[in-house]
Amino acid sequence: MAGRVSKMRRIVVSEFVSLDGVMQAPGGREEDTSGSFKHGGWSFKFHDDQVPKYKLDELSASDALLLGRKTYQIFAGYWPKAKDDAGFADKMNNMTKHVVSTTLKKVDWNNSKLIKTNVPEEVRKLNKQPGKDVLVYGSGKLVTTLLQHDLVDELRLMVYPVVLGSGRRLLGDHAEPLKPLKLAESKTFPSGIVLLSYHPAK
Amino acid sequence: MHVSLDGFVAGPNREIDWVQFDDALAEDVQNLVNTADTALFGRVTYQLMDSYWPTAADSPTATKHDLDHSRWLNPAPKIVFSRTLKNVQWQNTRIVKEHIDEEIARLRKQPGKNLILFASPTLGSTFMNLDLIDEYFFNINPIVLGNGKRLFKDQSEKHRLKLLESKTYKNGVVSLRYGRAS
Repeated sequence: MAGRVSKMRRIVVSEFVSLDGVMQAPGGREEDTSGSFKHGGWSFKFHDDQVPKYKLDELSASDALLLGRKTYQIFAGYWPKAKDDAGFADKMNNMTKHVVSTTLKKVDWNNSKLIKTNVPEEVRKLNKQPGKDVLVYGSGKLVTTLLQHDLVDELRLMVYPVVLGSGRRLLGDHAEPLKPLKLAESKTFPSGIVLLSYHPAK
Repeated sequence: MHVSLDGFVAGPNREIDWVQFDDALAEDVQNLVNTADTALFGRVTYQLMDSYWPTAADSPTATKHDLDHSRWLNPAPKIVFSRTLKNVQWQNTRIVKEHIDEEIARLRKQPGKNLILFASPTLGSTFMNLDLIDEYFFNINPIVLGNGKRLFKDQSEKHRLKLLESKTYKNGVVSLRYGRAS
C-alpha cells in the first residue's frame, strides 16, 4: 500500500506495540513516564535496518498526521529540533498535523491545526478531502474513539518480541461490542518484529 | 493459544466463540500437540476442558480435530495447578498445589516429550515470571474484543522473546511462535 495514492483518502493507524499490547513511550526513556512507567524507549532495543525503511515509505505515502494531545506534545517537543539524512524529520515537520484536544489553546509546531469538538465529524471531513493517507501515530485514546466510530481504514501494528508487563495499552479495556477485522498483510522483520495490518471487516 | 488482537484469550463471559479455527490451523495445532506427552492446566482452563473433552469424540457432530485431540488428550497425563481444587475425575489427572518450579524441574528431568500448557493465562503469567517457558505459540485472531480475560496481566518483570516462526492462515489468523531471547 505504501507509496500509492488511493482515490479515497484513508485513515491509517500505525503503532508500535509490545506483545502484550503496550504502546506507551516506545521511543524514549522520558517520553511518557505516567503511571511510573519504567520501560520508556523499549522499541530502540531492537535494531533492524528494515524498520526505518518501512516507516519512511509509510510516511511518504501520507501527507497529514492526525494526533491526540499527548502524542502531539511529545512530537512537538522532539521533531522541530530533529534532523536525519533520510528526510524523516523534514517530512514530519512540514506535513499538516491535525491535533485533537479539548484543552490546548494553540498549537505551535509548524503546520498544525486544532480539532476541538465533533471529532468523528471532523475526521470524516478530513477523509473526504483529496490527498494521501492520514497517519495516526501513538494517540491511544484517539485511536479508541476512531475505532468506535469506524473511522479507521487500516490498523497497522508493529509487534515487538517483548512482554513489558506494565504500561498503557493501545486497546485498553472498553465496553465495546466485538470488532472483527480483516487481515490485510503480515510481514516479519529480521529482528523478530512482526507487522500485522488490518482493514475493517465488510 | 488463541488470542484476540487486543490480547484477550476469552471474552467478559468467558466466550471463545470468536476463535477462528480451520483445517490448516487445526493440523498445525495437532502437530504441535504431538510434540508433547503431558498437558498442564490452570484450574479454570482445566474445568472448561474437563466439561468438554472426555465426551467430545462421542458426539455425532465431532470434527476431525475433536477426534484427534480427544485421542491425544484423554489418555495423556494431565496436571492441574490449583490450591483450591480438591479432586479430579478426568482420567490420568493429578493436582499440584504448590512448588510449581520444583514440580516442573522434576518433570523436565524425566525422559519423554514436551510439556504443553494449554491456555491458562493466570498460570502462564506465573510460569513466565518463574522463567519456566521455553516456547510460546500464539494464534492472533483478527478481532478486537475490547474486554475479557487477558493473556498477559500486569507483571513486575519485562520478558524479551525471540520470534522463531510466523505463519498466516487464510482465515486471517497469524500464528506466532516465540522462544526465549538468548
